[in-house]
Amino acid sequence: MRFGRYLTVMASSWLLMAVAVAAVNVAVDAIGISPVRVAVAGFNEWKPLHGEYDWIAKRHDVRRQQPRTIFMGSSRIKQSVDPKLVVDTGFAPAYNGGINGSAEYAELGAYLQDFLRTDSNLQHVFIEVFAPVLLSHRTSPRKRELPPISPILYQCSSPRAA
Amino acid sequence: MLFNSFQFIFGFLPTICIAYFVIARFWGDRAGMLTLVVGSLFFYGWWNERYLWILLLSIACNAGFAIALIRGEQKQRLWVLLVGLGFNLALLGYFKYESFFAQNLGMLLGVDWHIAQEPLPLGISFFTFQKIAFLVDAYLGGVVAFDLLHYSLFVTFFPQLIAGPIVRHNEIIPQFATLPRTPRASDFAIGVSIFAIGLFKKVCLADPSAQWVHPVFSAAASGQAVGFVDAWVAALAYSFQLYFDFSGYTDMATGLARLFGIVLPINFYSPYQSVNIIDFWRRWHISLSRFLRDFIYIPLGGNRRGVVRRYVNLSIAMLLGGLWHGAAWTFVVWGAVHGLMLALNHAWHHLRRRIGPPPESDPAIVRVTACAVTFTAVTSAWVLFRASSLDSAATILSAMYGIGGQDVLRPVATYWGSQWNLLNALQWAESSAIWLLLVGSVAFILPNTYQLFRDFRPALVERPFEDAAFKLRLRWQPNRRWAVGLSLMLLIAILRIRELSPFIYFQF
Repeated sequence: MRFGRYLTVMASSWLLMAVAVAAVNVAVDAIGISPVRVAVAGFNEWKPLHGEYDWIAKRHDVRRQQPRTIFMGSSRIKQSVDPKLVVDTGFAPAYNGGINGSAEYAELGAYLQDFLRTDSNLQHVFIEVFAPVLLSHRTSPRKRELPPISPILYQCSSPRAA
Repeated sequence: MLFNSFQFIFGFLPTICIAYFVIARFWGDRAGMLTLVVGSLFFYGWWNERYLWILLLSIACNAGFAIALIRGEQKQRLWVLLVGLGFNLALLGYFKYESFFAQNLGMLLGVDWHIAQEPLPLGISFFTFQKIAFLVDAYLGGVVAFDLLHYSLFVTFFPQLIAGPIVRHNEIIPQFATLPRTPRASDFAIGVSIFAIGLFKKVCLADPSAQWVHPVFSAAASGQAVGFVDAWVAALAYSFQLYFDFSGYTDMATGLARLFGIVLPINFYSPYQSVNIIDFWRRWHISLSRFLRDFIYIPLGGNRRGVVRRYVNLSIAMLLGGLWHGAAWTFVVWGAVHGLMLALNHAWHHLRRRIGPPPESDPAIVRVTACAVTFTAVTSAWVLFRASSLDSAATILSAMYGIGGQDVLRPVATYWGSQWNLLNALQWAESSAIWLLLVGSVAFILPNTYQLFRDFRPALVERPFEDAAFKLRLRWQPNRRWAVGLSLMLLIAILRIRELSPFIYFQF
């Protein structure tokens, strides 16, 4: 085989495999962020990683669902607030935006900025407040920004790890 | 910019390739070379543009010294060389060793000197050595003509700028005369294939090994006790992490240079398959070993002034080699340990040649045992290389060898009281053992990149290595199997790039 042909085979097989991987990811969509939303029972209906990748999933959820109310905070909010409780009130539709381990206000602020940018219906935001964290933030405020949202390429580790 | 980043693979690399070949084709070789220099400076300045000015200043001053050395009168040349060496060493000393020397001098004098360490410009140790080698060669008459563009590309060429290999001018600059103006399919096929192997080593073998290293070294650094199994797992995992990190980087650099038709010198040749420490240093970071030999060991007298002086020279060269890696006592001691091991190894060979058959005639079983002993010694020394202080290195080494009252069975005794902890410990030991077995097999059994590509001159080799016959059976060929296999490796590696993971040798 000539070198040119070798390169062609290498590039085309790489492309084919990359497309196959992307297609499987988009179709299976274990996190629940794919733009292709076809649910097939027993295949991709269940999104097992949705709860584990809050920092990706919640941003996509808010963009899709356009809730009127968002509850923000740490895992306490995530575990204890049921948005269905406000279903017949002026707060509906509501969304639980609690993120595991997210008690830092610079991080919450970054998510809030993102929600405000992508959710045109947003009117009410409830934010969990820890007095010590809030006070320490006041003395040393830091601003954080989230990376651009993408349905296929996403940051596998939490932005706070960086 | 890291080789193992999306910005590099999908942004910088295609851009520089297209820019170089378009410009070289339409505006000629020199315009193409200028493109490579500008691209390399952009690559270097990506981290911190302040570093760029240091690099440019260093290039400008060294160009001046080189011109003075080539065209100057004999009487002045020695002074120019000394000033040039002084300038380069001062630059390196200021950025790398200022705080270290000030602190230690302060301790000796009983003064509390605290000097804030300047951020270390990336690759300063590599490009400084490269420039020193150029000046010495120019002084010795090895450089007859100076071309600023060639020199700038020789120093800044991005595949080898940050972490080597430490190239010599007579290896690289002559190749600039035959740089391709259009992409050569053979160079691209070989370059991309070697790059894919390197990226796979870095992302899929080196980075995952870190999970076994960091917790144990962090625990030791914070003063916690470390168990026997944990210490060995961490030391072995670091040994393989460093191996695949540096080997992966070297492959990537070799592959990237090949895209532009440039063949870099060999820098890494299955060092863990060495049968003794002398052999190890002929295979690990070969370009640094060569620099230490040519510019420290031989000028000190080498082996020409008697046996004792030879060992002293070896120790000095290795001590400085250790210090070159970093401004910390851990690196100094690491260098000293290797110097001592080298001296002992030479003495042992000397003795064996006098009393019986030379070591080269040893049977296979002896050679395998020697390989295991060498690997154990090297791995133990890596603990000093990785540890944040001598104390934490001592903690881990004590745990590994049961020194200072350390009970080698302490982990079992510690965990016995709690079934949960014992299960966790066993799980850690089991999963780490499987991983170490896997990466160890790759390091010890599989042929290296140079062996795989030896039919296609992957690197400049000073002298050929002796290879086991079975390693030579597997050869890269431009066929469908290799194309699909390597594209799969490349895809897996790219999919595993998750967060920035700098190469370990970048810090030097």
